[in-house]
Amino acid sequence: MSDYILETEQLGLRYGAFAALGSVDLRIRRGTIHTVIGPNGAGKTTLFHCLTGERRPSCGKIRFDGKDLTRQPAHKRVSSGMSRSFQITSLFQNLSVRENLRLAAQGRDGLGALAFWYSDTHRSKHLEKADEVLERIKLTHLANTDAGDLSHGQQRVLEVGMSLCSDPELLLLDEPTSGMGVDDIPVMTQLISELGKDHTVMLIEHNMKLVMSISDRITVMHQGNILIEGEPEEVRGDERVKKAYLGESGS
Amino acid sequence: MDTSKKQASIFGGVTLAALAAVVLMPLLLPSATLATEILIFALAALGCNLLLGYTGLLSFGQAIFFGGGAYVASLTMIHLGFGLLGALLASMIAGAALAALVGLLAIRRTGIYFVMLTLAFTQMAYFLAYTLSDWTGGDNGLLDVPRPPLTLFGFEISDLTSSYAFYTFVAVMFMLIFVFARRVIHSPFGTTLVAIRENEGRASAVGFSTNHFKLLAFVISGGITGIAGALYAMLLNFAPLSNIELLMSENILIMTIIGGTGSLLGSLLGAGSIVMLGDLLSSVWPRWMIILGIALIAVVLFMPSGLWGGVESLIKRWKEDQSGDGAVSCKDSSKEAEAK
Repeated sequence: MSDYILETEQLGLRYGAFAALGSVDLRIRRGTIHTVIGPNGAGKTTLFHCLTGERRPSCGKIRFDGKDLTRQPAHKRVSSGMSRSFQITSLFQNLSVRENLRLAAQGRDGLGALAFWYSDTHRSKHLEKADEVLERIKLTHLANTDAGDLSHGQQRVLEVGMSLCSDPELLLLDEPTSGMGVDDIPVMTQLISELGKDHTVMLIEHNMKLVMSISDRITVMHQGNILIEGEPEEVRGDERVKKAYLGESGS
Repeated sequence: MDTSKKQASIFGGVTLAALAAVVLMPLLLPSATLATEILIFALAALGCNLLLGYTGLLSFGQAIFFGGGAYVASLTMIHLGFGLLGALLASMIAGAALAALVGLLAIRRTGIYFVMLTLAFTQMAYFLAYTLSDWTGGDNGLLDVPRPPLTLFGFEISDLTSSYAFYTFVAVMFMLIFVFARRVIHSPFGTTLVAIRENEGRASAVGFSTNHFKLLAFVISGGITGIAGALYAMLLNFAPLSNIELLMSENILIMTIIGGTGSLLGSLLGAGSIVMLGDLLSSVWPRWMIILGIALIAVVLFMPSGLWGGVESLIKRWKEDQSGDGAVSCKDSSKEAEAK
């Protein structure tokens, strides 16, 4: 088994003459929290979409756990062991928190969930999984509340919780703190560092305090390519990173 | 939604309510034929509800499955000598197969484009049925459709010639399919359909291949609607061209929406009110459809969850009144809530 759970090889995505993603070689080591940062338009989200299968890269390869899944559709990547959260909260608003999680757990069955001849509680493992994740994200007391009635902070936590339900090896989190208030961010920071103990986590994030405190590795992107990669301390001190964020005039 | 609580049994709760309605209808309505027609359209609405209420798919294709089921049942009985159950099975398979065909192409698009595709399919099916008049009777409809006796293992159970006997048979079919539909809704498949209705992007992201689920929903809906079409042909001894018209799709949709999407009992209520309204008014006033239009507008504006939703909130209010002391003022009830 390779040390790296996810590897991309010269991954690129072009829209006509414009390269949203130049040629990215990203490697994510097992058991680490790996953050991708970079100024707006650096290609972080495009990279993320290629990894989740939402966008098809125009060149290069994605290898997950040694298998090439560059052309695998998004929903199949879940049963491969990859799971994602959304930058813009995307829940089943009119269903209870528990049902949201139970459905997410059921998702790993893929086409097995086409079964229409027995009760959904028959497979109690999905309910157990939902309850386990509820404990973990500390929303047990709100299990029967509709997801749409949660506060924004709680919805963000549920958003991450849903990606946990398929027992993924790799969690892809798209700006988990997006739109969160200052008071809620420590909750999310703690949750992600907790998750880092059992899963490999790759996240895109803007909140530097969170990034610097929990990341094992940081990749800085700029204009569709990787600028540098290193440990938080290295990245913090790097002149090129400062330039990328502030622009040439800032130097 | 409290799906986890409702699970107790698919035979209890609303199934009992449906059973009560099915038993009472022939006693309260002027004729068993009218009651039979209500149940047949309730089946069609049930099939439509699986798509509209549970999967969130507005399909104008229901007439294809209804009309297709009616033609296939009639033709297999006339030309191949199929018995009652054989013809019903054939109509179910035909409905499901037609739905698979329409579904396979229509679900490639979403939203308005999906709706337009189902609309186009219905128009095509209508003109196809019109053109193939050697088989379908064209504009005149398919005449002399038999209503074979009900036989099981060679024993004739009932000849079904009396309208009450046929009603009983349709009622049994209705209850079987009603229980089946509840099983479908409270299954991994059914809960996934609701997930797709609520948020298709997320459903796909958690691992569901949503098109497969939509297709199966189509097939099940088509099968149920096909059976409804076959029963309708047996009721009338005739399979009119109007079975496969766009207007039939509209009627089925209106019944589903007026009754309340997302509740099976609503489909029965919707079919019941429209069929009865039609029966009462069509003899008095040939333009009665105007009233149907007004009723639809009223329901959509004032009872967004349909008649059944209205009934549910009435029951809820009644229960609250019971727990309090008849007429409770707002003040009292808020105090009560605090005390609890």
